[in-house]
Amino acid sequence: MYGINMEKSMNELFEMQKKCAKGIDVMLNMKDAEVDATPKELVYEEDKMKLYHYKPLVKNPCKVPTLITYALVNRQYMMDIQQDRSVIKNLLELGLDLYIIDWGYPTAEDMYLTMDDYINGYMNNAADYIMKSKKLDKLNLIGVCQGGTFSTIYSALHPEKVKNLVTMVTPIDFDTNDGLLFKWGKYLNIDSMVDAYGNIPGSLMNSGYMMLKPFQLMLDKYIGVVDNMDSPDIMQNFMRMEKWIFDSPDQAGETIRQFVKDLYQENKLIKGTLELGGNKVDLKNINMPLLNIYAEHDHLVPPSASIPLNDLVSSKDTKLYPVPVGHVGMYVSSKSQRDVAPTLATWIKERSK
Amino acid sequence: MYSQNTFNETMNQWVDTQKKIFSTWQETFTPNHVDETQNKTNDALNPMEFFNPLNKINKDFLENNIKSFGKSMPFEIFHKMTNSTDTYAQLYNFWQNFISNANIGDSDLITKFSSQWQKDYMNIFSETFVPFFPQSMQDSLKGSTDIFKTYFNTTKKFSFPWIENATTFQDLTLKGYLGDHDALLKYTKLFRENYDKTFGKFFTAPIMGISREYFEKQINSMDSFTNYLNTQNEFYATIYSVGSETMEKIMTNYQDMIKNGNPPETFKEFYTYWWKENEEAYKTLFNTDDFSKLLSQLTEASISFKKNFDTLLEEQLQCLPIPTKSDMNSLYKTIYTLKREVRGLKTDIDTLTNELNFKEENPKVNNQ
Repeated sequence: MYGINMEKSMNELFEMQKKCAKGIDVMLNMKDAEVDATPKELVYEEDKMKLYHYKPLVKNPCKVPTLITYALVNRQYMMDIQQDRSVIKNLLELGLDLYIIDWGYPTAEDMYLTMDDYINGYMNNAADYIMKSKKLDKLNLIGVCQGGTFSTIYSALHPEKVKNLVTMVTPIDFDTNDGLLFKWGKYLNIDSMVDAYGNIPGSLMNSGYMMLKPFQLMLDKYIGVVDNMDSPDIMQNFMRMEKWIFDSPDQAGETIRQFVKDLYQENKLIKGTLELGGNKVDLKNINMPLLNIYAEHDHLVPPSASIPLNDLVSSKDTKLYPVPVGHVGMYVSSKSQRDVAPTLATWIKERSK
Repeated sequence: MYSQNTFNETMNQWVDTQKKIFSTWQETFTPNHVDETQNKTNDALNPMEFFNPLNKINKDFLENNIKSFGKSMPFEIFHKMTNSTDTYAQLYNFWQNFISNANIGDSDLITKFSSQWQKDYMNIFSETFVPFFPQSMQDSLKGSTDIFKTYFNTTKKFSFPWIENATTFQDLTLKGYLGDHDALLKYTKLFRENYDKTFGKFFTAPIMGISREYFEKQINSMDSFTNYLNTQNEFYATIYSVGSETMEKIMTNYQDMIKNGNPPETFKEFYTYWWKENEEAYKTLFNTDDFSKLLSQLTEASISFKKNFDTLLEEQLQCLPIPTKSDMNSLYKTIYTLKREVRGLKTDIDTLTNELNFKEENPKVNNQ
């Protein structure tokens, strides 16, 4: 009747019922979602920024250490979300010597921090600490998303300290209408927002991200979870991801003000007019090898925002590496574990001899 | 840790649910004697009626069991799941009603059904998304859905210009409820015009006397709040408009699918079709320049209200022996400036120390 397949519908409903019933047991016995589990040591801290050194997982790791800089938005443990899908663990097993910056959770007293403080201050001090402790004058950088923009700016300002630069899902050219954030960002009165809030609340940022795919992220995700409720492993992974998504630090007011105005609205990095600490950021100063990894299906940082970087630097050794995944898939997908981490590790090791 | 009582409660609910499933099964497959004198249809043969209790059981089961969890991560997930299943159930009712009407071929009935659903659909939309926003935003968002009522009640208190336009307001309100996409926007604009002619003038009039400054802040705060509500109304009218248009499109397409013999085979398939159509429609809306501007206007209006309200609050707090946010911000600024200065001095000291050490270690270079 009305084209409805009774048998299929019945099975669907009973299956759902069964999964719900089993799911209760699964949820009752679920432990706290463990994330960020790869062993590491706190080696340097300044204000709320912490620098961690991961314990190497091979006998003779790469001689040039690699510093990972994550975005200020969300938390860096996305790269170490679960042990069987950890980019960090993968890279360590592939022989890299890794450090990572944890930016912490800015509070009201951090509202005046600028991009200069983050890049020429915290990031530079972390890099200096690593080089001093390893008695080296250069290190490798991996920058992720906004952390990739920071790493690019850092490499342009301090090229003498950077051996190799890897950018992942990194926005560089903000004059694109491919992503909604780029479109909306152009009209946003960030001055007003920062003046009113001081720091921009993470929850407010999250609401904006969920609006990008409202039905998928606010509705279907929670309907779809019923299909996997009877699987402890899948539910545990779902919890991990859920925890990460809503673990959103507030954004230091002056930094986000400059990021939105200078980059989203005026695209100064591309134009060569961005200034940090009184110095112009000239992308042509980037002369070290560059690996630019972007996600083909990224709805947050569209490929058109990442790709132009390779043509703007003076490096002779550059590589564009498209991956057929989304923004987060770059870190948690099986494709990422299987292809991205090995490619990245090999590329760095070959250039760190 | 969950207590034994909680566990027992869960088990009891589980057993109870199983009983319900069994009785639903029995009721469905036991021949249902029809009282032909009253010309009743045989409900057991209606597939929609068959799925309804099962769907409800699923929802009740999930909802009851949420109570077994404390305020933990699983609780949060379950909470979001029930919110989602509520929408799921509401959409299910829509599907059920539509199926019942779609085959009749009576265009009047379809139109009536459509109008009713356009009205109810607003509720689905507002109830779908609001629970997912941060708690701090929920109240204001929920408020926006009551704006019709608020405006209408407010109009009662206004004098002549409002009374003069009352009929138009009522007319537009009714049209809005019945799904006229432009009516809500017209209502908003008319409201703004009347507001500017009456209360708006009052708010911008010069104030005299010893408390002039304080009253001005109060009035600015009230004015910006009205402006915020107005912009929020326009924003949600746009959102709901697209929802309503998409629903109409879905209904038409679904009728065609039934006619062509290729409708979704299960409710889940219909649901997937429904949310994907909506996602696409909103993607198109969100990509327009007009929406980007509207979003910016809404943000600006809410920020303006927050600023004015914060100023007013601080004014009131001044007589209390506690620092205000402005006081703290000033302190934070001082600390930040000092920290930067210290950091700069440290760098200078390091540079000088290195130069000194170099000179000491290389006296010959030093002498050249």
